[in-house]
Amino acid sequence: MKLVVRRRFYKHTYLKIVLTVAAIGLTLLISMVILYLASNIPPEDFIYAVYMGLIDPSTLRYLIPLTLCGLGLTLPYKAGIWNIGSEGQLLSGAIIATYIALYIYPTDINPIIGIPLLLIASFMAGAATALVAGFLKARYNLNEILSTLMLNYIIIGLGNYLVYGPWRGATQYGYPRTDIIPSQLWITNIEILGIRINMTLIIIILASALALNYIIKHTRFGYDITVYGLNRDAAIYSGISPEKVIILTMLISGGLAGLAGAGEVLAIHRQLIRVQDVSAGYGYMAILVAWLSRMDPMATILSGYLVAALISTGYTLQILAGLTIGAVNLFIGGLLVLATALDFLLEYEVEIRW
Amino acid sequence: MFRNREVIGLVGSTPTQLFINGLSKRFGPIHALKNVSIEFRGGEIHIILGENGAGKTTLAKILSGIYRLDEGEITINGTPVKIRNTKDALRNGIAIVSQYPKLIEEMTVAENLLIALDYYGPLTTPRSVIERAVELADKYGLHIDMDKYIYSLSFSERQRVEILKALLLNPSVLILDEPTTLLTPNEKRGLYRFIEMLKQEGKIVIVITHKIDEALEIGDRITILRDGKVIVSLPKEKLTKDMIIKYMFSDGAEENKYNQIFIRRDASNRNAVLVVEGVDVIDDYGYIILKNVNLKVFEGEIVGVAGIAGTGLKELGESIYGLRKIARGQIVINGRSVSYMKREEIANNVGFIPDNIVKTLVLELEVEKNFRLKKSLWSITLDAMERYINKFRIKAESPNQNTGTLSGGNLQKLVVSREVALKPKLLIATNPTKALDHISINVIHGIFREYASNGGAVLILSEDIDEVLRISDRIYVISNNTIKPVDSNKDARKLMMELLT
Repeated sequence: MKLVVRRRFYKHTYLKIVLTVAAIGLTLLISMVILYLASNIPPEDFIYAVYMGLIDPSTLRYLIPLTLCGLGLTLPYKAGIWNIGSEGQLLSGAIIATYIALYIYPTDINPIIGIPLLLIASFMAGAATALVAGFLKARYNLNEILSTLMLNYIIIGLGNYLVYGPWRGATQYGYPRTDIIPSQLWITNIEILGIRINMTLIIIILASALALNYIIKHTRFGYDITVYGLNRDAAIYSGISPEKVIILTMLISGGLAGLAGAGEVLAIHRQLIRVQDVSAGYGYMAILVAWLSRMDPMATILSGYLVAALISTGYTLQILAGLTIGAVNLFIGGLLVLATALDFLLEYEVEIRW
Repeated sequence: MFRNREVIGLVGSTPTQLFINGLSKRFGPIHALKNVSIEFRGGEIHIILGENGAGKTTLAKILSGIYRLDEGEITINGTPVKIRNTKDALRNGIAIVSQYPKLIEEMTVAENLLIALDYYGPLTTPRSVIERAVELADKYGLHIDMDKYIYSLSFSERQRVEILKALLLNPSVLILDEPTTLLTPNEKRGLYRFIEMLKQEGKIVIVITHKIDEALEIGDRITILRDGKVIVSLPKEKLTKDMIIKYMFSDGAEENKYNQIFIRRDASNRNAVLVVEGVDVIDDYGYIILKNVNLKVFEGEIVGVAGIAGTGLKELGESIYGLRKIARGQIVINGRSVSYMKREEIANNVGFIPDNIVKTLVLELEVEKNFRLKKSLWSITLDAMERYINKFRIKAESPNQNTGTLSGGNLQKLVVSREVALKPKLLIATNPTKALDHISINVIHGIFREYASNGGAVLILSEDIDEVLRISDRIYVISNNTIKPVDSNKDARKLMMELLT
C-alpha cells in the first residue's frame, strides 16, 4: 500500500464545509464517548445539552465577543500574519472604555453621542495594542506570534494592577473591581421574541462582517492581503507593500477586538472586574472561530455561533452533571485539534494506492 | 559507525577505486541523469565538466547521499555499496564540500567542526577533535582561527572550514562542487595546492566545475556531461579547449531552434532608459558576485546579457528591479535612482520576468487575478486581457481558470504577457524563454522586438547564448565576475563562449 499526497491548488467550497462539519461532528462524538466513559454521562443527556446549547439565549452572549474578535482575525490570518493577541486587544478596549466612562465622561453629554465615542476609543485602544506588534513585525521582522502573545500578558497585568490598585471602586466593599459606570452609558438589551438581544453589538457585527467581506472580495487592499498570504514573493515582486498589509490588518484586527472589550464592559459587567473574568479566553477561542470560517467573514458569524453554542453546552453540562470548566475545554480543545488535523485534507489530496 | 577512526581513512594507503555504473535520476518528468557510468581512480583529480543543468551537481548529490539514485550501481574497491543517505556516504568515505558552505553563522569555527564528533566514537573528546582539526589545517595549509565566529569570516575562510569539516571525517573520496566560483586568484592557487596534496595521498578528488580553463589546469581526467549524459570521459592530454567547447555545448544543432534572425539596430543616439554605473552586485550570501557593472539600455533597443547560471545573471536583474541592495554604484531608470524609488513605483514602471516565474504568480488564484497583480493592471478589462492571452497563445480555457492547472510553459507566457501588458519603459527578462517550445519562443521574441520598435527598452538576461545572439542589438557577457561588452558583428558566438568559460 502506498499513500500518495499531492498539494491541492484549488479548494472547493463544498470541501471546506464538509471538513468543518466533520470536525465539529467528530468533536462532539469523541466528547460524548469521553464523558460517558469518564463521568458516566448518558449519551441522551449529552445530546440534550448540545441541543440546549444551540438554542440557549446565553449562546448569543458568548457569540458577540467571539465573533467580533474572530472577524478581526480573518484579515491578518488571510495575510498569513498570526495575531494571537486578541485577548490583550480585547482587554485594552475594556480598560479604555472603563477609564473614559468612569473618569473623563462629562455627564451632560447625550449617550447617543457618548456610547459611539466610547466604542471608537475602545477600537483605537485595541488597534494601538495590535499596532505595537504590527510595527515590530513590519519594521524589524519580529515574530508577531511571540509579540502578540507577550502583549497579552502585559495587558492582563496592567488590567489587574488597575482593578486591584488605583481603580478599585469605593462602593465595592474592597473587591477587586471598579465602581459601576454611569447608567446612561450602559448598552442595554432589547427583547425580541422573548430573547434579550444586545442589538447594538449585533448590528456592529453584521456591519463589520459585510464590510470585511467587501474588502476581501472586492477591493485592491483585500487582493493585496490575499496575495501576501499566498505568495509573499509575488507580493513583493509586484510592488505590494508588506508593511502596509501588516500594519493595516493588525490595526483592524485589534480594533474589532477592542470593540468586543467595550461590549463586555458596557453591556455585561458595567464595570471593570478582574481581567480574567472580563474575557474568559474569548480572544483565544476567536482563533478557532476565524480558523473554522476559513477566514470568510460571513462564515465567521456561523462559526462564532457554533463555538458559542459549545461553550453553552459545556456550562449546561456543568450544571446538569456537576462537571467542571474542563467540559468546555474538552470541546474547544477537541475542535481545535480536529479542525487543524482535517485541514491537512484541505491542503493536500491523499490517494491510497494498493 | 566510526567507532575507530583509523578504520575509515585510507591515508597514504592503496588507491581507492570508485565506479558508477548506469546511474539514472529523474525529477518528475525531467531526466537529470541518464545512464551515467564513470570510473574514478585514486590518486587522480577527476573533473566533472558541463553547462548548468547538465547534471553535475545531481551526480555529486547522489554520491554524497543527498539524493537517492533511481537506477544504477555504485562500487567502491570492487564491492557494491548502497548510498541511501549522507551517513551511508560518509561510512563509505565519501565527503562533499558544497558550493556554498553550510555553516552555523552564530557559532565559532571550532563549534562548527564539532559536528564531526558524531562520527567518532562516544569516547572521543571535543578537544581531541579540535586538535585533529588543527593538525589537518597545518598539514594542508588551511590555516584558520578556531575561535572566530563564522559570520566574521570571508568566503574563502568559510570554504576552508567546510573542507576541514569534510577532512575530519577522513574521506577517501572528496567531492568539491564549484569550489573556485568566489575565490580570488591567490586563494585559487592555495586550493589547487591542497587538491594536489590529496591526490598525492591516493585519494579520489572529484572537482565539479563549468570552467574549461580550470579543468585543463588541474584535472587529470575530464568527464563532460551534457543533458544528463556522459559525452566523454578522457585523460586531460587527449582533450583540447576547442574539443571541450564542442562537447559541452550542443554544437550548432540547437541554432535551428531560432528560425528568425533580426537585424541589429543602433539606438545609442536616443535617450538612455537604464543606466547602471559602477555597480557591485551582491548574492544571497552577501558576497560580491559581480564587480563594477556598467551598462546602458537606450529607448528602442534590446540589450542581451549572457551568463552561466550562478554567476550573477539573476542577481543583476534583481538589483536593477530594486529587490536586492547593491554594494556600490548606482542604478538609474528614466533619470531616477532606483534606491530612491518606492517598490510600488518600480513594480509599476518596470516589467520584470524573474528566473523563477513562480515568484510572481499566485498559483492558488485565477488567471485573471494573476494578470492584475501589479496595481496599474488592476482595472484592465477582460477583453484586453483575452487579447493578450490570445496573442501569446496561452492555453487557458478562460481567465477564470485556476493558475495552478496551467503548464510550466503557459505560466511563463502568462508572466511575459502580463509584464508586456504593463507597457513599461523598461522590460527586464531573465531567461524569458526557458522551458518553451520553438513556436512560443518565436512569439515571445517577436513581441520583444515589437516592443522595442515602439520605443521600449528591453534587457534580456539569459543563460542561452543563442537567444542573446539572436534578439539583442547589443551584447554583454558575464565573465570573471563582471560584465564585458561583445562586438556583435564579429564572430560573436565564439567570442562569447570563450569569455563565458
